[in-house]
Amino acid sequence: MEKLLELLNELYPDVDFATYDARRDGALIQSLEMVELITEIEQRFDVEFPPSVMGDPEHFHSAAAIWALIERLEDE
Amino acid sequence: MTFISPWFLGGLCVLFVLYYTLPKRAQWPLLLLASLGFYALAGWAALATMLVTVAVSYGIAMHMGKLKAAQKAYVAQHRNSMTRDERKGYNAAQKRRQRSWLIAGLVFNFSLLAAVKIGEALARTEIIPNMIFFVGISYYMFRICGYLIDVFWGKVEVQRNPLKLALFTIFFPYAMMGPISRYNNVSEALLGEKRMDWEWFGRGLQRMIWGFFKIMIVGFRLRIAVEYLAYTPGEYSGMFSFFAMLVWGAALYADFSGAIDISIGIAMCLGIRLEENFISPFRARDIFDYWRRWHITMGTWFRDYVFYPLSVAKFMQKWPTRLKIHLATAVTWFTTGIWHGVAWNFIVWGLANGVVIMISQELKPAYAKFNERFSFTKTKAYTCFAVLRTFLLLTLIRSFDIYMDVPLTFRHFASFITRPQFGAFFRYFGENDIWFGLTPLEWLVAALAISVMIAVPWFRREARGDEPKRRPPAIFWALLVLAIFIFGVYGLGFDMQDFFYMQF
Repeated sequence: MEKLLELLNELYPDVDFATYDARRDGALIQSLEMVELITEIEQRFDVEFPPSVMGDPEHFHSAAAIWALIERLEDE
Repeated sequence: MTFISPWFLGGLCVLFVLYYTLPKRAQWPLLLLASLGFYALAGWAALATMLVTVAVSYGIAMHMGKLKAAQKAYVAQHRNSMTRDERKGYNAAQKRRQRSWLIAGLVFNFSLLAAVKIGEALARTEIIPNMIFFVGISYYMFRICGYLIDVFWGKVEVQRNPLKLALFTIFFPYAMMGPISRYNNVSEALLGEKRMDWEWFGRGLQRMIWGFFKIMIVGFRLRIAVEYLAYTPGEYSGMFSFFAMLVWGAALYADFSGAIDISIGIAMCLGIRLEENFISPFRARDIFDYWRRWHITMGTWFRDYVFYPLSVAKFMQKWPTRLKIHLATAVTWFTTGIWHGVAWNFIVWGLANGVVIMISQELKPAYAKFNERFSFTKTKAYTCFAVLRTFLLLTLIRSFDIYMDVPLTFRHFASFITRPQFGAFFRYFGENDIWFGLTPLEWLVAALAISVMIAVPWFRREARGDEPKRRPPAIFWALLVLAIFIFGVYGLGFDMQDFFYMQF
């Protein structure tokens, strides 16, 4: 989780991902940024993102949600 | 048959009565019958093509479902005896098998779509006379292909009843012009049993009235003026052409979003919630924002099924991220153009969107710095400027639809400078009693109706998913209906091809 927060803060220096939640604060990661984020996560963690999850906002609304997805994908 | 025909509205009333009086288990079969009937009116060949698509897609989805179930059972059975790498290897091999079936299904469906689109393109040049009009084919193909991909991804359960799958594919409110609904969003409501909810039913009717108002008072009326200006393009260049582009924006929005209002309204009356397709697109601050507001279900379809899969494709894994994004953007917008038709104007329209998006993406850091450096960028006035800039940019891009001819459209852009005709444009209104095929009164009606469209915020709130605080009183709806009867343009409403977005 630490590593993920570090990455998110690099990509979005103005956002505090410890508290950010897109369901409350409005969508932040749009489609083009999504590709950047996924590419970075794939490079830093041992996971491969299936394109099927990329369109689902419930996986990306907060750092915790992204982390839960990474853990699930690591297990698959 | 379009939504605007007495036959359609009469049939709809009969359907509503049957829908809520027959036993509830008869609801979805009734909707299927109504949808097949509606589609059969478009022609038997079109109906047969649609049924073949559903049959093939059903078979492939069922087979993928079987493979998935077997895979799941095998992994569960051998969970303890397999290493993580063995499990990964097994799953990957199974995925490849399923993928080959998915590709077969997509190739079949898109070949059929391509054949129809190429046929239509040749018919336009009169190489093939009497081409059958395959109404709504792009829409149902995208719905069913979206379903196939979702089955492959494991996002939806396989539909075991082919008739239920057929209903999802051609449910009549969205058969002709969308929205391009997703199976996981609508299947439960579409196939479930619904009780009469008067509040919901009433809101559905209101939404339909709103749609008719937009189409019949603004859309059809302004299309007359656009066609008038476009049919004599040599004469009406410069300012005239710019005016045509502005009017076309209003006409297309009223026409297309009005049809979607009717689709959503009919579905609401049937107890089914469809996806929104427009959320105040002319309030967009940039092109990204615009495409999150205009023809939303098409945009998200291409994003989820073309852009995302392509941008994380294995062959590009080592490429720089920006290159990946640009390539995926270019391909996505090229295919979006082709989806509209095999014609240069659509392809150039798609690529123009792609190019503007790529440039905007590259300029994002510069914009961020600019916004940080200058505080006036946080003012309302600057927001208005951004909205106006986006509106004008998209107005230019949209104009490839008007002339249906790429070099001619570019000549019109050039004429803004080479032959602006400012004086002639303003003199035109003084020298003529009829302005581009419409009387001054007709223009006034259209302008007033557009003001109502802009001023009424309820639907905007509803489209965003907010509950409007105050709903319009009954008198508002009565006035709208009255306005439709008095000022509605009926002459155009009885022909299949009248809605611009119906041709796709």
